[in-house]
Amino acid sequence: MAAAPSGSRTRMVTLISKGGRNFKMPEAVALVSSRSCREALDYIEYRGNNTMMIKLLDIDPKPVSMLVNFCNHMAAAATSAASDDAAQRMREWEERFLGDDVDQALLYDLLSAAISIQADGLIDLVCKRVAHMIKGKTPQEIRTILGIQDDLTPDQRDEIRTDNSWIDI
Amino acid sequence: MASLRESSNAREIPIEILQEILLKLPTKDVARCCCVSRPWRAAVADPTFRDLHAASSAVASMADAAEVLLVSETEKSEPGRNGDHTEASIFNVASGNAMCHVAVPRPYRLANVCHGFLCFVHCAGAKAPAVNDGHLFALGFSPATPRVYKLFRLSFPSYSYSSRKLVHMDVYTLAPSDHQPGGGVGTESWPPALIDGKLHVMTAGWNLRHQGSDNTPKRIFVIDVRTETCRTYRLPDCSEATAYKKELVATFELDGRLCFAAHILSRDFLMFIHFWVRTPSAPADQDKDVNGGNKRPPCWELLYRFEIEGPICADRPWGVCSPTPLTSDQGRRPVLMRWDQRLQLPDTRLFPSERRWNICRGYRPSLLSPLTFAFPPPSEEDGRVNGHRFEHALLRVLRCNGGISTKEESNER
Repeated sequence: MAAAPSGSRTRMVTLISKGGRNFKMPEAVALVSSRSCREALDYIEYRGNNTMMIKLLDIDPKPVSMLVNFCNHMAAAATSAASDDAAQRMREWEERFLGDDVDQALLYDLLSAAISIQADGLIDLVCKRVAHMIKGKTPQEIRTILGIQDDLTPDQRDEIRTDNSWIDI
Repeated sequence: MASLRESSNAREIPIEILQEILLKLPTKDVARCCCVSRPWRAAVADPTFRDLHAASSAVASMADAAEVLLVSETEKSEPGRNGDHTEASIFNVASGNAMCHVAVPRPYRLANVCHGFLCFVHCAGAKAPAVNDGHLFALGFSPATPRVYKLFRLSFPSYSYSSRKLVHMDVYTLAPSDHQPGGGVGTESWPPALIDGKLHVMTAGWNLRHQGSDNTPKRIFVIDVRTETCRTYRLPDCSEATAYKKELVATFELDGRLCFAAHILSRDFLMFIHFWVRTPSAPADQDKDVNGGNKRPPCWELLYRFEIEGPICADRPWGVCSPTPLTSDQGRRPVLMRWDQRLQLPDTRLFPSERRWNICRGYRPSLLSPLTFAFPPPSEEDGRVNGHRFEHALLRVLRCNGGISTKEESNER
């Protein structure tokens, strides 16, 4: 574990997005939300300035700020008492968090950011959202929604149908 | 963990994340996703993923609606690869398609359908040392323990020196285990119904004095798969008949509850059909001990009662399928009977006596494949397609008469 600082400032973790924007969150929050931070903080010792920098230089500012927002919220929710109300409020918050203004591109960026710091909570949330988006859709519709190229030959398609013949698609 | 890389406009989702997403989808959606693109197909084809998905998809909240299958078992003697075997042809009733054809070694017959599995058991039954009478097998599954399937073997000794009738129940998960006393004699007319993690078996009465069974259905024997305990319930009291006849009753699942259906005869002619549904038991019932059965009056609710017009001689109903049709075969002239109408099947040559068919509920497809044991699909030259004329006729009648809800024709090809 990192040595305890002698100063009285809270230690922070800073995420740097594309364009050099900085987003900070307290170390405690990072420990709860991000696996990479947990692993890193095991062997990094703080010297001098009280912050650990994580570079996410190919990700836009908005998803990174959303990520930090999510981590802060999750950490706060984790400390408050669990109850049906709290669970309901969390669900509502998650709905608003991934609201209508979050398009597929932003979703992917968010996923990218979450994967980079191994924020399992957010990865799970985005996966649930994508699953919800493609449930019940035909393959062509899925390709449209997620912007995927169709690279299967007709032969391969037939093969797939035979391979899964006992599932009545 | 791989990170997302940008390549022109589209991004690739790493395969592990894709699998995370697919794990949250029901089986059919995952199967459809095979057709999206090559990376998606590879993600679904991964055997570890399939295994994981099959386990998690069995949890009730994720499950697809149960499907109805028509299983036709034909005995064949073919020299060569399979020798004497039974060909089990499995058709999906809702879509009318043949799903697969599997070779089953000759003495095995269909016992029940449990989630993604059809359980076939050896007819002759392994002769256990103490008991050598009829065995009833059922594959059981409880949503509370999603990875565990248990094979229950119920043996009904023909006589016993104790004053209580015993049922020996062997449970095979990884190793055979214990015996549990119960009550009643099994009947093989109906496969056990698996509802919400409990197996329901119809049992007949037993007469101590005559040391035999009197074959009248008397009780339902319920096995909780997870705890491997059991109890019995009396069948509903019927005012219009003195007793139920063994061949004319059925138990099956209706909307998540146990339904008991009975043909009531009057002088050999079908007069009424009753559908009783078991109401959920009161909490106090949970403490009842195994041997005494249910001491309170059984909680059955008569859901439907149909009066049949015109004399119909029904000697044996064959299968029950969702939502309410009751099929029955009348010997020479096959007729399908629903609760509100009689449907004539087109004139097919009568199927040979070595063929049995059954309509089975409760099938939920999983990603684990039965195709390892499958025949190649029948081709026109093979003549096997003709062999299924009866099944095709039956499926057509079921679909055209709205007996089974049919899928829209706009399935993606």
